[in-house]
Amino acid sequence: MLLKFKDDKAVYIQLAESIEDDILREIFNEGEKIISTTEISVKLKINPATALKGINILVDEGIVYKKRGLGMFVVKGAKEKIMLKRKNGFFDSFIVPVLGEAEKLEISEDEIVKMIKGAKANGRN
Amino acid sequence: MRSSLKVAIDLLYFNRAGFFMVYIPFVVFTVAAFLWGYFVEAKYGGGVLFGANGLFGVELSSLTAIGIEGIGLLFLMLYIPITLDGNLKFLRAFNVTRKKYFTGNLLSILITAVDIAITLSIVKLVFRSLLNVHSLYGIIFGGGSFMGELIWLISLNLFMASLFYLYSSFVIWHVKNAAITIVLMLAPAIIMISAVTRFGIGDLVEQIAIRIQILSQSLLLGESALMILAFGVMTTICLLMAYPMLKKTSVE
Amino acid sequence: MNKIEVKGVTKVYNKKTKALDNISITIEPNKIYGLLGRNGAGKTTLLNILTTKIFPTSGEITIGGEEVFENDKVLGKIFYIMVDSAMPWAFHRVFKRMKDFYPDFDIEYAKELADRFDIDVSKKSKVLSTGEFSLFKAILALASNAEILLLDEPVLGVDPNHREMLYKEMIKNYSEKPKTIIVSTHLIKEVASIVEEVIIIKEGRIIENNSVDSLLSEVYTITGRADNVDEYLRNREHAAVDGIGERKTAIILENKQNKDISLANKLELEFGNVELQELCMALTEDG
Repeated sequence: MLLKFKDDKAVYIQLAESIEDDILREIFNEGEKIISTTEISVKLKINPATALKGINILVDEGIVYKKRGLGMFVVKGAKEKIMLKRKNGFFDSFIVPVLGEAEKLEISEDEIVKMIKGAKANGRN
Repeated sequence: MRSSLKVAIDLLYFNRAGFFMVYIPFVVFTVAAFLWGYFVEAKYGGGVLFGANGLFGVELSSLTAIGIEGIGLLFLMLYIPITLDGNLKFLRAFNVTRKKYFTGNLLSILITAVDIAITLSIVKLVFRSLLNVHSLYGIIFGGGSFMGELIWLISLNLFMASLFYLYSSFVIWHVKNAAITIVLMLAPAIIMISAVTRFGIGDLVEQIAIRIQILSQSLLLGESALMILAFGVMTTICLLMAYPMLKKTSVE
Repeated sequence: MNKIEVKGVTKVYNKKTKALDNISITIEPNKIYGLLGRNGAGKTTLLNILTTKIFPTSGEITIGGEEVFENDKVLGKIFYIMVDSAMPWAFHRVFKRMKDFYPDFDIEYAKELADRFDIDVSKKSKVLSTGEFSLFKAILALASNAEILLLDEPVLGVDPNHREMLYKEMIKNYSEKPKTIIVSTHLIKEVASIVEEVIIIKEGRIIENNSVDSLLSEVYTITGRADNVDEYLRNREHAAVDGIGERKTAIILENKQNKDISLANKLELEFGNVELQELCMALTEDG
């Protein structure tokens, strides 16, 4: 999980995303308990309300659920949900900024495609 | 009430170092004073102790007459202001109401006053067989009764302690100048000692004795009961006056 | 139940110096508040008035709807040790006596914390350093189990390692046992992520009383060439304009949603977020 936050996005959003990353990486598996809000807030030195806000995003999206008295658990099928959500956002989050930067540096579309193909070939991915 | 007692015990406990620092010398001094009085009386049989009459003339009878009471009162006059000042730390550190602090503080002082009275009575009891020790009680009521002496001393000390608590509270909490505070704190002790040494106690004591005897007879009360009642009333009045003062004081 | 309401509190010294000027705030229960401001702004005065150590010239304070003055029940809910108080007693004895004032005081927990924070409880406060005494007070606060903790400069003199430990312990304690905590400090950066709400005092007046999230969503920075920044600043409330050479940066005091993105693009300006300490400094600047 992230221990250092960037200042571009709200902390609780970054927290939610980093837990999603951990689910994708299967650090937290479906049906398993994830880290508690107390542990999160202590480790990251943030207010527990902030930690809770981040967790609640995941609850609202059906990625984790709360078992009374036991903690937070990963929903079955959460990994697919996250991948789908990220795939849908992939264009806006990653492609648009690349295109914007490319325009600034006057890099053509063909050059970009060549770069992509080259990266895959060289295994730099 | 129970919690005020707890505060009192806390204060006594926290002040125990200061208490023993004053108490032990006090006991030593008391014993020494009695012994000294014994030897002086044995050798000189009364009269004036130092020099001629006037500023430094010390009437031996005055000094020994106020002996037991005086030592106790001197102790209270020194102990109360010291602890009152130190106990201020208490209010700074703990969130108690001034009411709780007041009653706790007062209780601790009254307990001390009673403790002193008991100590003096026991010392007198121990030395009575050896010495012809003097006290106002002995002079007013005729000596001999340990309980009488004890009741007298307890009543007197309770009253003086509360009076002194009132006085010290005013000085410590409302006088801002440190130098004036110290002068005012030492003034009562100095005044008492000089008054005792300069003016004969004899007449005054006689007056008090007569009045008490008349009063006790007309009220059909024993003299002890009268003393307790009188001192109780006076003590209560002092306490009632002290609290409103404390209520308005800020701790900064 | 434990809502603290300060209504129109003013404190005047010597008929002229206004230490607090008509303060009215509400402190919601079970949240961590940062009471921020420069030295001498009035933070400690406010805390002292909250606990009736000193009296307001006018105004009133209630906790849970009850007046605080001479109210043992209410005062017993609050843990507060004045910042410069000394305790002339050995610490382990203080632990034992704390139960008289805070019936839920957890002595075992206090001893455990003392051990973890390397505090020698056989010592008395006067032989301890400022930092050790601060830690001792913090330990008392956390172990008191009081419903309201007022901490005035809790890490005064404490080294960074122990500061970190203390913040973490405070968060853990708060998470497991919710309570109202007010941290009064000028070390804003350290507490920025820990507090939920902030109250900013400047020269005896409240200039901000808001949640950190709201506060920071209502400001943003703009950076770019000096003349372009100036153009963006026109007709916009701003603060803390600063620059190196040709570049300038400024804090815009308006909601992030009102960003003029097209204008910024035209002027080649970059947006950024404001940190709590930056904002606080900007708002409490002289003049």
